[in-house]
Amino acid sequence: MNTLLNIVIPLLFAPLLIGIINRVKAFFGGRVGIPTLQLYWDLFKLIRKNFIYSRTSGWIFRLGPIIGFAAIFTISLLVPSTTNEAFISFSGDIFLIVYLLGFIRFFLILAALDTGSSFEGMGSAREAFFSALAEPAFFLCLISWVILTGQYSMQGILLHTNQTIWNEYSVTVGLTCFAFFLIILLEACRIPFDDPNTHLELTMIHEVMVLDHASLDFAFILYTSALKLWLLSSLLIHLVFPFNELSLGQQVFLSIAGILGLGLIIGIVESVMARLRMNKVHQLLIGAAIVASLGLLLVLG
Amino acid sequence: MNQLINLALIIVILSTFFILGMKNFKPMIKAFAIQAIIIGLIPLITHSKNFSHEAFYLSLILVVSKGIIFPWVLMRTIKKSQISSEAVLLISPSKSIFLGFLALVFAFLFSSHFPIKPPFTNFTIAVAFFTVLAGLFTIMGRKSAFNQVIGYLVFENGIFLLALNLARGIPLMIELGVLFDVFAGLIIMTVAIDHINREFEHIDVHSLNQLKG
Repeated sequence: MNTLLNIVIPLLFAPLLIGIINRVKAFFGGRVGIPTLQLYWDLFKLIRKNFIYSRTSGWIFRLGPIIGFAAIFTISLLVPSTTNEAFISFSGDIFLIVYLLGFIRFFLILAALDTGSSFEGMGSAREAFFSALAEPAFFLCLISWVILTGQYSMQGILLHTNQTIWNEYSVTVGLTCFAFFLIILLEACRIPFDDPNTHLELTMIHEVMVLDHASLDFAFILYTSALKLWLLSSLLIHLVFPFNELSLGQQVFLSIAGILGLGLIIGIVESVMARLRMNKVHQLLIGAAIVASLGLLLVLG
Repeated sequence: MNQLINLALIIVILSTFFILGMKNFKPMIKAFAIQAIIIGLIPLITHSKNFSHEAFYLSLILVVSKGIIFPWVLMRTIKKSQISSEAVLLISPSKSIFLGFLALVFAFLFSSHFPIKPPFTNFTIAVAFFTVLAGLFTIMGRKSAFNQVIGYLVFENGIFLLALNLARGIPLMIELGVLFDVFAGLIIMTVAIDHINREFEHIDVHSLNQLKG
């Protein structure tokens, strides 16, 4: 029951997070904004549409979004996003999570390159470069947590994060949580790394990669990015609010409320900043890696 | 209390990285001011248990002189000499930050073999050495003489940090003596920059090689 909740709740609530981020952005812009449940209606609409495939695309183009969705579903089996028990947990599964995220991105890039258009190639190049810079930061954060808690599985790390670790190593946990927040913003393609609302071809990074997918493929891609944001945010929430002493109902409530609260914060960050210039983006990612490594050095020293 | 010292040292490291990677002068001076204020507050943190007047006066003098007066003098020099606010870097910002990170790792390895054990953590020696190395790197890697003044001040900050954490008690006279030395050096350097700028219309140190012979 605990483990099934971990799978069902992200699948149900992930589009709501995107809706909340959009509502916060609209509030800052003085608008009413699109309805909060809009992504659900968009997904239903997209499922009913027809497929369109260009003649230059092959089997990878059809396969990319499906593999993306399958990989993010596998991550939801490994990450205890709502309760404190994951469906599958083994020693070393943190590396599997990071590489599954890279796997999603790899197949989306291949699908974009399969269309034969140079525009998608440009977006894929940018996306590959930025995620290559973010991986060291992600690994440094994970290594810090492994050293702090002594566990090698994601479920173990989240179970053993408790108040004593916060009291003794507060600077390290603070630094790695900040670096992890920047990584979440990158993986979900949010400002300051990528603008999800942009119409200008010059500024697109992730949107240009998924430009050619139609109906059900595009539904898979939207759902995959919403799930990615939900699962990574749940990691951050469970590090900041240790939840191993709470009852089941309290855990579910804290997870959902915390993740939607983090959506509020992401919406605020999106509204007050603009997307950075391209050369500043990779400086910021290197800065995130350095901040995470400072946290690691504090723990080792 | 350990956490407070760790937090202060992390802010020092981050401001040093900021100075390494910046092109404009004014944010660099502000980052230096933050660094100097935090280093000036460290005597108060380390001696918070047995509060002594010397620690308080030392902190006050450090914060006021290095955190407020020095940046003010530097900002005035920029305005008076009409130096352009952008620096020319010989090494790009990303590479400077990466080299700074290598210097930090080297400082950590060095501090673990240091013969004197500091009262709190080994971290303070590593941060002090890193600040010294970063100051020297700023002196080497920039073209404008103004940047070299800032590099020299960051270098002195590092030496201060090392002295504050290794000394037993507060050697007030020694610290004030070093501070006066730095202050006099700063005044001389800013006056020299002003004269060079007026005479040659630029402060590019590589062109000053033509003065030889």
